[in-house]
Amino acid sequence: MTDRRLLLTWALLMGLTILTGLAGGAVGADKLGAAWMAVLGIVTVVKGRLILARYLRLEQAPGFLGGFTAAVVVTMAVVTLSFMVISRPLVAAKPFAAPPTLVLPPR
Amino acid sequence: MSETAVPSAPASAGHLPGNPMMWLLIAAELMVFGGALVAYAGARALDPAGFLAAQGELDRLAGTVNTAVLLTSGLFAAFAVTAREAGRRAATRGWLAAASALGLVFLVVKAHEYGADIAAGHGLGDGGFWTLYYLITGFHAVHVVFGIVVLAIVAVFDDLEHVETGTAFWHMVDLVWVVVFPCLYLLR
Repeated sequence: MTDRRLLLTWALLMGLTILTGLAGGAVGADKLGAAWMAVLGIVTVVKGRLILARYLRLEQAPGFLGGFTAAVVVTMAVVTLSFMVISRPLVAAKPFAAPPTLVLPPR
Repeated sequence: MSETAVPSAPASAGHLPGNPMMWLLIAAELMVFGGALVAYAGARALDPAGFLAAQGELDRLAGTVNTAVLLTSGLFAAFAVTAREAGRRAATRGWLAAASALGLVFLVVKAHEYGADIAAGHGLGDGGFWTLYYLITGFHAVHVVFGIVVLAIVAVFDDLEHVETGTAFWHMVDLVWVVVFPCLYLLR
């Protein structure tokens, strides 16, 4: 791994970080649409793979690179899909039940 | 320390760089943080509105800046390995120090964020989003502190395998943040 290649990797990671910030509304935006969530998930996986392959040098060990990348993919897939699909509580809150009132017989 | 190179073979194709035990640790850490993020997604599924409101109070710009800081420190750590392979020991220590310094910058920004969150009345015991936020980011910050210590140790005991092993831990800390940041700050 040459310093020049590492520098290119860093530039790519920084570019993707800016893209992630824009997709995730680092400034502004209340809730994201499904498309932006998908972009966030994919960009995060790409960034993770770049770190694993270039910074951690796993491109010289493709089997390990695949295994570690799979861990990132599974984590991001579960979290991103849950955010896409679930917008209301999975378990409804129990309705408030007023305690029984004691009614005294008239004297 | 002298500038003479200690002979050590660079990592070869098909093999993991550094000490294999560090890779076991990295795999374990990825599973722990991955599990925590899946638990976070599960907790959010019970209260999406509460999580959305809490996420709106996070400083997303500070989180983005911290991502850039850690990615740059990762570059410096990678430079330390290439310098060590070339036998430039002073440069190796310089890059390790630069990576550590950016680790400290990360911690300062994170402490500033925590201060603002606490001042806004959000504590570890608030439950829901805030408890998970403090636990996950706090556990990561502990790893940053530990990583700075590791980089200092390998700067002293600087044969190539040690430098590869120490910087591998640092890149793991970097990788975890790259995954944690969008999950907690951006996805909503």
